[in-house]
Amino acid sequence: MDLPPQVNTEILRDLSSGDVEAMRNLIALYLRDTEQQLVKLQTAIQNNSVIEVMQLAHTCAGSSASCGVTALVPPLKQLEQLGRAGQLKDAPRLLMEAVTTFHRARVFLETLS
Amino acid sequence: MIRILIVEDNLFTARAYETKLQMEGFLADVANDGEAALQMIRQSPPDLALLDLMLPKVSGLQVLRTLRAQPEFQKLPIIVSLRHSPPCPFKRRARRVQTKCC
Repeated sequence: MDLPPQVNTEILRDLSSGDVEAMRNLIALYLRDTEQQLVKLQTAIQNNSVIEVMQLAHTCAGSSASCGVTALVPPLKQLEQLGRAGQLKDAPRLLMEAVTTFHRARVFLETLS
Repeated sequence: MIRILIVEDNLFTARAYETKLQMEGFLADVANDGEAALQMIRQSPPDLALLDLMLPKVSGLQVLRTLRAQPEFQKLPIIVSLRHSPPCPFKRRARRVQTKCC
């Protein structure tokens, strides 16, 4: 399987100091939390809740960066900026990009755990 | 054993740091907001604190100011962790400023 360029596995390996069980737990936590955050983000966009969009996108971007899922960071940072600006016109497109990227990353991360 | 307090509101990031530090042989505690951090530090001062900037309830800057205003915590080693260039007050009060990976 080709390594998706958007997942930096070195970060995960470093965080878990090479311990397989620790890495498995971190991956499971990241996937579960991020999936929930993306669902909440969708609801927040539908409700035009700009502050919630900003906060959720910020949190999700931070988790993704910490987990090495770097490709998810740019669309989430853009969503955060849209929320801060109070203008969510492009938010559905960015959310779709984020969800697609997340599912690609999930497929890869599940092969590691 | 060296005890480190992780002050971080992002639950995944906090867990990731906690895992890393424990794997390296440190004792790690987590505070998810500035108020909890101040309370935990007063009750049982850690050997080092890793402090995020953007925190709910009490900001990282306020945590730093509050601690540095108290003689017993003026020399507590604190590493400020943030994603942007730090404003000047952090450079004066923190032992070290570390940029996150995003």
